[in-house]
Amino acid sequence: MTKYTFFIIIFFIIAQNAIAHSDHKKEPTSIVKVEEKSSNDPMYATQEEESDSLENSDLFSPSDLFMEGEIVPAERNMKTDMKMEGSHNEHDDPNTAKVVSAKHKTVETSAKGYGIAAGITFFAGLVFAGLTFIKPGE
Amino acid sequence: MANGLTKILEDRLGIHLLEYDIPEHSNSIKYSLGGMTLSSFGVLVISGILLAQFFIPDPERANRSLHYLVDQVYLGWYLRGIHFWAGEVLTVTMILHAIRVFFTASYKNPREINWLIGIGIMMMMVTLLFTGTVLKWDQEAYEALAHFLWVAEKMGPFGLPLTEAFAEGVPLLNRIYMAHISLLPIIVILMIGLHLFYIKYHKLSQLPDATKPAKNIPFTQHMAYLRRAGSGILLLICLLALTIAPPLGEEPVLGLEVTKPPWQFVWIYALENLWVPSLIVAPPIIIGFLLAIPIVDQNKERYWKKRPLAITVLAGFILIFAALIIWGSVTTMTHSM
Repeated sequence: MTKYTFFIIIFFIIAQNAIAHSDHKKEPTSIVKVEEKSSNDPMYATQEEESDSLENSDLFSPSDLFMEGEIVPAERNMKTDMKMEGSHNEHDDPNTAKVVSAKHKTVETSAKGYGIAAGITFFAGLVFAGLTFIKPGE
Repeated sequence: MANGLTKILEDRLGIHLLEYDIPEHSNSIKYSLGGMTLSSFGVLVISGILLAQFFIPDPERANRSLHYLVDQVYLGWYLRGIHFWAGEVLTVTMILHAIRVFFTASYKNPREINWLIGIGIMMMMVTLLFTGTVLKWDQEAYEALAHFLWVAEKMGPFGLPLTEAFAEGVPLLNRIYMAHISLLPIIVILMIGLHLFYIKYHKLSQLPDATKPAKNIPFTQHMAYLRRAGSGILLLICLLALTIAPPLGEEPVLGLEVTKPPWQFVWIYALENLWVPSLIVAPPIIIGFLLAIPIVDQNKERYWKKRPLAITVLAGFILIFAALIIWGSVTTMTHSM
């Protein structure tokens, strides 16, 4: 009995914490002036100088790493990436941004592969139940 | 048939060398918390290897690659959930394991070394948790890294290897990713190996109130129990991943402080709110305190009722941390970096 109680308690401790986090309604949605991302920001440091030196070098060729047709000019590649998700283009005004604190969410049953995930979880439950009732080797 | 196979494996692989005397009480939840922590770590390693196939460790793309994984990749949300919840479960079982070891005074002579190794593993796990938080590169990650860099800067030459100045031109996120998937797991695995070696060498501790040595059970019987406990932990992780999606924000807005750290770090957020330099002072004090326990506590008594001071310290430690976590969760930061 205590064995099951232990797992139930851990589940509730963790789940309760998750739910508590999801209730952080006091966290403000902030509209702020934003510093533009700069390559000078240490966290966004880029290898501009390095890439220049590599481009000028005879040691490397872009075709060494990519198939023909896969090579895309860096500038174009960046623009494509920026449009990868609509949500990232919502900050049209570079000086104003909306920051929403990330929260735990309930998984929707429409998530890709939810049925398989439920199956995997069910299988994990079966294994645990089997080991608990049969207790092989114990 | 099964016995024949076992004998072949024993002869060829020397598996029987792993066997040692296990006291009967080891087949209980409180004496299997270390095994449960190891199970979670195994889940973290496997799910981490799979996650690495989809993650782009570049500041411009890291966050987007995770959103892509969660929204577009088949079962990607589940994979990330498993990795996240395994980390959460690991934190809980690891803390409970440390509390159990302290409560039963299993850190005492001759097992001091394993307490020290255990504290080392705990520190590495906390570092893994921190680096994992930064990798998702949303607002919470950015602010966590900003605080970390502030501390590293204050540490002067000792903090230099942890800053961008150490390898200019290389995004810090790349180096954090390397630490998260390579350096730290390698150190943890080596330390776990050492931890297990000393468990075997010193044997599992007897019950604190035992008047005579406990009856021993075969090693395989303990392994069977740990297998069941591990499968329970896996089920718990799967259930959490199936029901609650871990938080993932959008790309960070630089220079802004609006989020709070995960609950494992929120106590230091609360301390920082009281006194900013506690960010630098508190971790070494706590680590020093934990490391000093087996050295300072030379009392041979192991039964908790006969160790009132130690139990008071334990209760105080738990209460202070719980209070700081609760306060950190409800308070609002009064300053910025």
